[in-house]
Formats: sequence, C-alpha cells, structure tokens
Amino acid sequence: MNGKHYVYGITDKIFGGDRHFVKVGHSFPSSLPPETSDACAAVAVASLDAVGFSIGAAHIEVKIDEEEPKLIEINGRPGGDRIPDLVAMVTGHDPVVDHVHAFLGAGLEVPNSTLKRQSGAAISFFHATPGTIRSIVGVDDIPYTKDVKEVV
Amino acid sequence: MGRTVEPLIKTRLGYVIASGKNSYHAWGQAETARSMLSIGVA
Repeated sequence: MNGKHYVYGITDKIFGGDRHFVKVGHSFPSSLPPETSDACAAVAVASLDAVGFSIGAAHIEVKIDEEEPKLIEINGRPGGDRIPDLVAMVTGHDPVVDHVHAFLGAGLEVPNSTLKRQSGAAISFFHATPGTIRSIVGVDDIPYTKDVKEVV
Repeated sequence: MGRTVEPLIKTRLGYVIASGKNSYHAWGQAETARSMLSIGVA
C-alpha cells in the first residue's frame, strides 16, 4: 500500500504425519518470541521488495533454521487453508477483502501489526490412515461452544 | 462414507476452526473438538 508493505501478522504452522512434513493445522498469532517474529516479518518485507510486489495481499512462508528465518515461498495472494479467516477473527482485518479492495483501488485501513492481541484462532485438519472410510463417529458430540466456530 | 483416504500428504478430510484467549488456547480448542470425531478406515 502506497509503496510500503504492512504485516498482518504471523501464523504458526503445526506439522504432523509421517516424518512431520505435513501441515495439520495453523494458529494465529504466532507464539514466536517478538524478536523472532520481527525477524520473520523483515524477511517477508524484504522478499516482497526484492520481487517488486506492489499491490494486494501476499502470503510469505519462512522456516526458522538455527534461529534465523529462511525464505520458503512468496505468494501474490492471501494465504490458503482458511488462514485469512483466522487473521480476520483476531485482527478484524480480512486479507481477502483487502486484497480485492486493493485491486479495485479502494482505500484501505492500514493493519496495525503492533496491536496487542487479546485472542487467538486456529484450524486443525481431520486426517486418517490410508484406506476407505467406513464410518464417521462423533460429529454430533463436538461441542459448538463459543470457541468452536466451524466444523467442516 | 466410502471415500478413499490417500496418504495424509494428499488428503485433508475436513477441519475445525476455533478461537481462544490466545493461539495456544485456540489450538487446544480446535484439537479437542477434532479428537472427538473418529473416522473409521479399512
């Protein structure tokens, strides 16, 4: 926006599965220490500058290696896996809506990355061993409390 | 029912979204809800 990048926040990825290479969930905001989060944000902003990204929302992935964030990928779009919904639940800023507004030339309210967040949001994926599904039990037992927002 | 589950790296069957006091609490809420559902695979 206006030649400057603003960071919505950082999402932690939770890995599982064989060899722990599979994303089984995400949580927002990140639980990384502030200095590590700042370093991740700096890598993200620098990567966008490096490729000349200038409009819309972007999704950057980094991995912490020896306490240094290393760039994994840059995407010229909001994150997938319902991450924008997690961000919106916590910050009130929906990256998808902002992304569309940016391309429509609409004014945007600058996300405040320093906002002291009082809440968190997370997504956990269902998974099962390989095979054919024979039964699904417990759907009606899941408590739809104020914290459980959606089961799909 | 009857859907084929391929290795986890290819298949996500669904999800739970939850909120909480912070990200740890939200993850706990989502995981608790997810763990209540049992998927039988043969």
